[in-house]
Amino acid sequence: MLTSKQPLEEELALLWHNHFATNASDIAGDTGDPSSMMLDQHGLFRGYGLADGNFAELARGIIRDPAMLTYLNNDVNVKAHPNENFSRELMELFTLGEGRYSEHDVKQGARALTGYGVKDRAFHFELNDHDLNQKSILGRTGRFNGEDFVQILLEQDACALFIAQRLYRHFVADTFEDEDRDAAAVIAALAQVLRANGYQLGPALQALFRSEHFFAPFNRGRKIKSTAQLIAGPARMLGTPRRDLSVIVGEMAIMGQRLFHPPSVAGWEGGRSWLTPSTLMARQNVCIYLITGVLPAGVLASQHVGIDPLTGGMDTARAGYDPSVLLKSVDHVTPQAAVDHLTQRLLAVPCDRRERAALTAYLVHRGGQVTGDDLLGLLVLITALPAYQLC
Amino acid sequence: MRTGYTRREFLQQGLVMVSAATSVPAFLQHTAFAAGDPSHDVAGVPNERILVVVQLSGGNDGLNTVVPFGMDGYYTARPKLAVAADKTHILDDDRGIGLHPWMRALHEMIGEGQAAIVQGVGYPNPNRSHSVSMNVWHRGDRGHRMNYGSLGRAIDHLHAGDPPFRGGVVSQTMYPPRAAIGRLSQPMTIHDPQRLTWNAEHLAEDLARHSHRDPVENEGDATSYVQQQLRFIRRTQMDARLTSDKLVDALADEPLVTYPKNRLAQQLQRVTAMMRAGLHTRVHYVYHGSFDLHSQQAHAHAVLLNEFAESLRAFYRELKAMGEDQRVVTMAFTEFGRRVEENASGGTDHGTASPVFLFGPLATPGLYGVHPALTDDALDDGDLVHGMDFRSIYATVLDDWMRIDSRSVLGGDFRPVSGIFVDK
Repeated sequence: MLTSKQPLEEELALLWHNHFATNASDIAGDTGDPSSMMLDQHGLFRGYGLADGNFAELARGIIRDPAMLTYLNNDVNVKAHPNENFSRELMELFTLGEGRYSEHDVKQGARALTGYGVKDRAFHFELNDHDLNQKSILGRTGRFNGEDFVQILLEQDACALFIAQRLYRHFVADTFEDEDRDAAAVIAALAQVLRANGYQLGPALQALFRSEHFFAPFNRGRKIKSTAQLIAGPARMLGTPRRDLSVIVGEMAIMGQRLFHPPSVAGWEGGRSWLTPSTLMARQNVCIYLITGVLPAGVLASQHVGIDPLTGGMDTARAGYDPSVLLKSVDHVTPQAAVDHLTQRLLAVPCDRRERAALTAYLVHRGGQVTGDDLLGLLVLITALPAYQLC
Repeated sequence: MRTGYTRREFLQQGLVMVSAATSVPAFLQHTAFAAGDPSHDVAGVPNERILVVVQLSGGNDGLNTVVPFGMDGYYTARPKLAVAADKTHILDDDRGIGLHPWMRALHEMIGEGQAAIVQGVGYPNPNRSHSVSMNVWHRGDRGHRMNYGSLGRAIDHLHAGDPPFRGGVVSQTMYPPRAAIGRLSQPMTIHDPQRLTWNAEHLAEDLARHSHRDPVENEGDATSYVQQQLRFIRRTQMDARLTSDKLVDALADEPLVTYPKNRLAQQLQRVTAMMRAGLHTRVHYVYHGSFDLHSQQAHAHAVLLNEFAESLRAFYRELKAMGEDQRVVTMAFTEFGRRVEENASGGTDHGTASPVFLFGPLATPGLYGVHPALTDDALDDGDLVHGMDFRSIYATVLDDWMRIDSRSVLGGDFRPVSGIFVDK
């Protein structure tokens, strides 16, 4: 995530981890160490969830995914005692959305999924536990198994629309009003592309990323960065050096996003829920760490790679990073030019005039030479601006 | 007339002029809570009731805490670790139940009408993994039927329809406790008040010296979505600063009573400091331990129990001195008890049921529930069988103390433990 040359791939892997959210510590008790199953699930997302992937394959894969089957109790969904948990979430959270199915469908779907279980941490279909009788799901009738159930779901208009909404929320805006006609039109068009291409993700993503809507000024800054996006930002946008991964992982947990441990099967809520007074300060301080190497308060340099806050300063040598390279394309580097260039590079929305003036004054009063040390300070100030939280 | 910004005006408030001295963090404002406080205006009971949750981390050995000295099997199962009957502080002479000798403070609190103990609390099909069992307690759910944490759902319920609600739970753990994460409500963590400050304050000082005050202006459409988001972020930023300032100020005052010196006491002092500073929060989350004592547990366990009892007594003494004790109920839980038989290393391994403690002058004191039997035929493969589902305790606290409908929070009907909060 921090170093990938293919940031879109990382975004998509994270999107599906959030969509098919599974919490590793909740499956640990039933199986011991959950890491191999979580890794398998991650393999599914990377195998079928990237730009060359296909949502239909993801949906087919998830009903054979040991981590998910354990997490949602399908390992105890047997003919004699059907367990409805997975059937419900499959429709509510993974394919259709709430209210697009009935309680009857939940019960019948659970029967179709009986016997889809786990053995030795691998998928295992137990025919003796599978209900072979006739089921009726969403108006269709037959001796459906789990794959048939998924196929029925994929054929619903609601499914393509639901996935289109998911893509829109991930890439464009945290929230949009029902009466937002532009958004509704874009989502409907995305759903159409998904259906027309058998749920292939590439064409839908291309349509989205090439749309005027995606680049419209109105649609910039409509998302609050996830913790993962915040952490990846300085490395991607500024080329900051590698920092201690154990510090970063710990800070991510403090900021409310412990990877592989989403708070529920609905994933991370996102949007404003990322920001509390404590997580916002942690966000600003982790940016300081990524840019300057100065560790967040309470993290000791003796145990991690970094500089203690008490002794830390803005020093390119100690930071192991000189931001001057960012201004290579700027002909005549003045405080004003540096501020304009870097705020444009780092902020999704135009920088407030007063903020710009204050940042410029900072460089002017440091001597106006715009040294690497000055720029470290400037970057730290920019990442502390409210607008930096938006993307 | 000042010409420059002060450092906190630039970054912490995003250039919005607000006097920090008189402002309370938005997420802890009185009005934010009054609206969602069903205990308001109930005749004869305190408003803005507070719940303090103490997490006894690591699995507390309930059998050596609430000691069943009169029950068959206790002394045979624990030849080395058993607590002598005559050393305990007697709770139930007939059945032979007493408190660990180092918990005199708790015994006195029960005598003074300030503490209750519920015995044999657990859940069906118990899991002996720390993380899994802790998650069961945090989620308030044995299967995967309920999403998010139990306290988070409770705060969500209180503030249904409001925008994301922060600080309904203030936790002093390093990481946000899962119990406190709701769909909309997010806990505030104050593990280290330092962490609520910005690590590059010196830059802001540079800035303060040299920038000049501009009239406040709005660029673009102030009602636009992005402008609203920016205002929300500025307010959050200011809240961090205000909380940090108020907390630091409040902690600078001497507590009204003497606290013992340990981590739990320190956290509880911060709770009273936050109350004195006027931070209105409904739930405080603190922790104590680790109780995971697989070897040579006797002394270490005694110390932990002593710290627990003494810290809670000091906490309630200070609350009383503040005139606030009636508003505060404390619940202490652990993820599981220990096995009945001690192990060969002078310790105990992961087990099942364990007692839960409730503190506060409005809790009817005494011993609740039935102590699980220790005879071979009564045990489940060497483990205690719980007599009380932990969600009944949650229902007690939610329904009878917080006045929040427990059925919607717990997703089922768990009967409150009768008699603890009578007509309170």
